[in-house]
Amino acid sequence: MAGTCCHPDRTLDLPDVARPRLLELVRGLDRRSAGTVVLAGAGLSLGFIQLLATPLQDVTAVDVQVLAVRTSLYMAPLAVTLLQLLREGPLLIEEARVVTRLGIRGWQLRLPRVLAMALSTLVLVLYFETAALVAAVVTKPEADAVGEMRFLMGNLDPVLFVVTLAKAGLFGAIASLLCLHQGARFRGRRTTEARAMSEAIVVTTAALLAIDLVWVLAADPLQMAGNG
Amino acid sequence: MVKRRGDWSQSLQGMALLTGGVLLLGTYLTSMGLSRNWWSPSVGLQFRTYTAAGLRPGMAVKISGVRVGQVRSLQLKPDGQVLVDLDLGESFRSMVGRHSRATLSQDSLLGNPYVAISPDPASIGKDGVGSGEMIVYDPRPDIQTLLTELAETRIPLQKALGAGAGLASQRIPATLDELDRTLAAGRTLAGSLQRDASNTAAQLRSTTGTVQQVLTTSASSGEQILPALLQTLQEVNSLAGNSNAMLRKLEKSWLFELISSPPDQPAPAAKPAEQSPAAAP
Repeated sequence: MAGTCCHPDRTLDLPDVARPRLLELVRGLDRRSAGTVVLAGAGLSLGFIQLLATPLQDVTAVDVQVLAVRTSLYMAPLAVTLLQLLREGPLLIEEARVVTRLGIRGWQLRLPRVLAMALSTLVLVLYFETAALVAAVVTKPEADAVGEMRFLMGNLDPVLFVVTLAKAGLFGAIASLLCLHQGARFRGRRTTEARAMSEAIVVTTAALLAIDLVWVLAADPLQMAGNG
Repeated sequence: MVKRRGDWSQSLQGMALLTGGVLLLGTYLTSMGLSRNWWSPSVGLQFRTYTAAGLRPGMAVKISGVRVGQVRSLQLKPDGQVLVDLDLGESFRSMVGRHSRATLSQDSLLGNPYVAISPDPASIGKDGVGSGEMIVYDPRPDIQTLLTELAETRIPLQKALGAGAGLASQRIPATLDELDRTLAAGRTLAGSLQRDASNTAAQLRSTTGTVQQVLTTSASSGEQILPALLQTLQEVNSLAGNSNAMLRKLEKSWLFELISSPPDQPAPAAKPAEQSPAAAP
């Protein structure tokens, strides 16, 4: 049964998959998804530093790097989850359409997919943040690149870092749940998978943005960032 | 067979990316831990303040700009003061002493605020502070305090300005009159000086011309006198030589000794014959 979940054309066997292994669960983790995320992180950090280069020209390069890395840390969960949604969403909807079981047993079968999405999003956030950090050091270098890397990593707020990882896992799980839910909703209707996917993207994006907004208002991340 | 190879390849990629993620997580945690002394023992310090504005649990504690600990907790006491607990790295304990002061600082516009502790040079090399000891906290003056102090100094400042204005209104007109008179006297003096200077300059010019004429005359006279003077000097020189030769001869003659000897002492008989052979015949 190894690899049965890795290709959309074999997801018909999904109900027979009882205990998929970890690597099979984290099926979104390949070089393509990591590459996309690394590009996104580097592009975001680079653009942010270029944007701040003129208004903050009197500020030291390290301060601009700290600001860019911290901003990318705030944006990482949402950005990575949206990228994961675009990649994994169609597969999840297709799986939801073919899983015929309902109730607790059905969700027990879907739970590994949710965990896989959460774990892969969490791991990809680490790649995203590392790419943002390296891009910040490369874009606005000072004397010692390795020293700057060490400083930027050490300067990250641990609470914010852990919260970001937890938020990434939560966003990944919510995105997969919503995709599975949308797939299940369209299962008995005469609608195309494209329509289901469109609906899933809209609903998931709105839900993630709403959760992010509530989190910003409730958790006061700026105050949290002042602890470092 | 091809699909199995593809699955294996994808599993390998997944494994590599998972391992990379774990390594990255470890690197992040190690870097954060090293910069925050998570794995070194620490001692507790305390200070009291009337306001906890700007202070938060978890914020950095630095000595000379280097992170040495963090704020552990804030407790509001019944007397309204805030008790702040700090965790200080054990290895930095000897830098903190009785004269150390804690202040709230910020490195730059974008930097995080932190508690800065000034090192105590007297305690360096000794045991330093003990766990749970209190240090003094100097709160940063806030805008409200500055405005209050400004309002308090406004009234004395207005009084001083009023007294200054009164003094100025009394003294400035008199001073200006004196200044005008002084300027008028100065102008008069300057006119007199100018007139005197013009007269003196004319006299000076005539004197200079006279002196120049005298010098010219002296120079021409000197040119005429100089050859005669040189000749006279040569003659005087030859005369002096002749005189010297004559005096040397006289000094050796018996006549000089006769003149120079006392009159009561008779001259020896044989001596003149020996000393002056020319007088023998």
